[in-house]
Amino acid sequence: MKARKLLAVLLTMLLIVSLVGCGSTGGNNNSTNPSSGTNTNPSNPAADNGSNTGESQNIMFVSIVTGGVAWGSAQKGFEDALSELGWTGQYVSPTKANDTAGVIDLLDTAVTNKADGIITVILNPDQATDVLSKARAANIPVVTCNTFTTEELQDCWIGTDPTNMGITQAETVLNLLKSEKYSSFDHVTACYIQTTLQTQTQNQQYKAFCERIKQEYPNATLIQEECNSDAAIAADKLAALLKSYPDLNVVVSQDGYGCPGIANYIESENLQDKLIKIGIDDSPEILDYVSQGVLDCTIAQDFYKMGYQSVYYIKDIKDGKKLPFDNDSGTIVITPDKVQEHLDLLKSRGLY
Amino acid sequence: MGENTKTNDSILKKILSKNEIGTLFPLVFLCVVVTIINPNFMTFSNIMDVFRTASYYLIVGAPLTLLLIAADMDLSIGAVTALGGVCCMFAMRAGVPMVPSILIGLAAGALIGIFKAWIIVDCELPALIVTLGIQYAVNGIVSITTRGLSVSGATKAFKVLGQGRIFGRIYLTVIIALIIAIIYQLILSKTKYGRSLFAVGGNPETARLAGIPVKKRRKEIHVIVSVFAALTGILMASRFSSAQTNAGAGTELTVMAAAIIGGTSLFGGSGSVIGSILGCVLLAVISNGLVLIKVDSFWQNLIFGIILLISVAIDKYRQKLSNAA
Repeated sequence: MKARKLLAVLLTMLLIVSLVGCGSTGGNNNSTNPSSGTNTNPSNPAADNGSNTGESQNIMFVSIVTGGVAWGSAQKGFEDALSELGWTGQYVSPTKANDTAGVIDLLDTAVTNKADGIITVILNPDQATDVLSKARAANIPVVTCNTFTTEELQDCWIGTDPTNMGITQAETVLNLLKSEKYSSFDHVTACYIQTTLQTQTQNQQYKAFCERIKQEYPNATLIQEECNSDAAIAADKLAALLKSYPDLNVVVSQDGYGCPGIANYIESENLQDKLIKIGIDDSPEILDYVSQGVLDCTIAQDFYKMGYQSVYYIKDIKDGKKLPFDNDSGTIVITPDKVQEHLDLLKSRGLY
Repeated sequence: MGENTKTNDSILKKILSKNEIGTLFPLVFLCVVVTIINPNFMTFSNIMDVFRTASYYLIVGAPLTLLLIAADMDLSIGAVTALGGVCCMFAMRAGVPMVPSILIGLAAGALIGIFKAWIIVDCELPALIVTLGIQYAVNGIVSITTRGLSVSGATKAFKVLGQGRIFGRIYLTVIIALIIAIIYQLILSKTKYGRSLFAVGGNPETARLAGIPVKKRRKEIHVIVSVFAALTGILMASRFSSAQTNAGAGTELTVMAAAIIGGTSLFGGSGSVIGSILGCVLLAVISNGLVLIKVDSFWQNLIFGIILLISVAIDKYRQKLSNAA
């Protein structure tokens, strides 16, 4: 009984400390009760936002995960744009990463609380039909990041065009095959290790990758695998694939968490010259593997731009401007000689 | 004739009474099938890859077997794994030498274990919900402190733990896991302490009346599981030269599945670490073997699930035969 009383006191104290800690990460504008998130209340709210609305707007960014290389950058871009415009906003995500139902619940909260604009990530378009229809009815502009639904349900989207990404990955492989280092490679046996096999955009990327590779190497063997964002699984899968396909000579990583596992396995087994290795994203760890030559290059998606530009798209929509539905945020191929330049870019954006 | 039948029944009963047999059959069968389709499976380097995968499950799986035998459970293993690695790497990045950094990681696990044990045992709250709550809280701590980014800065000496090989071929983690498993099996089968865990899991009231400190045993084993979960995280950080914030995600269910497949009862009172070793190896063989026999990725999860169900069914059938014999 005494222990339970002590537990109650302890947990109450912990809750208070957590709430204080949570509040200190952002401003005091909190119109919703998100599962996890960060408030953004710029220091210069009076700044001229140049919008026809003439007043500060409250924007909700309902994401699939908080933090990490990719979405941490998107959050920073979102916050920087809000700060520039003198707007307020909140970045939220479900407590479990990639919880699509959790995203819908948070979107419902945003619509109910009459957010002035919504930026979101929709992994499953069918699930979002109802809530996005409600947002439409409430006249709330909706911009999606790196995913999209239909023009009836949202205004526009910005992200890595899946087809362009797949083609970029394929062309990077094809260019490396022409290089002196890999001139002895006369065939393509490639594995493509992505997050999950259910990720729609990654499947589109893989399809585009296969089509482009098959144009040059019709007999290429292409293998699709998943790593569930786990470095250990990615490394184990690569190890098994090398036994299963002894002529494997290309590995393409399509998951930022799995990529270090792949790079680590390549380094520990001294496979640098036996494989063409294409990484993904631009965490310091992955950039380090590129600069050391463990990975030939990494292809970074511009998540900062996705978060940043989305806010300006909301502003444009509110100003009555007509935007194209598809907006490619582009990709950056980072080779060892471009690592420092890219790190400087990330530092200038306040990342890392 | 009658005597012969009796002797045969007795041998059969002896064989079938071993919990591990239920895992051994599917394991051997799977190894044979995969080897026939792809002989590369039986190469030394591939076997080492399989053992390496299994070793990470086993390091926490061995103490978890003891916890399950004591009729407890722990869903916070994955989160504590991530915490152990992150704490160790933060310390190392701050310039703390390797050994104290490892101890900091282990201490983080121990602290969580003590807190968990206190809530479950002293406050008498259900382990399922408490460990689930701790899983969320610890994941939250990891996310807040790392902002979701991996923590790098491993020293060369530290990398040896997760990447090093003995005689240039056998991964150090495999040896570490084996030593841990052997120690736990010996504790379980040869010591009074081990026998007391069976009693605690079988019937806690009888155990208490027999003079076994039930609460103390349960607390000790909860702390030990958390410490070894943190150790797994530290070894993973060493393997990848950085602590991944999602390291160990979902491990708890995989490891529990391995122990149960290996014959440990989810309701306590029976089980063995040898069974858990076989369970861990079986899971590693399935994931490795499916890739080696070139099963389409879209079919792998389905086949993985079916093989697990077959293993459990075989074990149930074995128990039935054992009782009948």
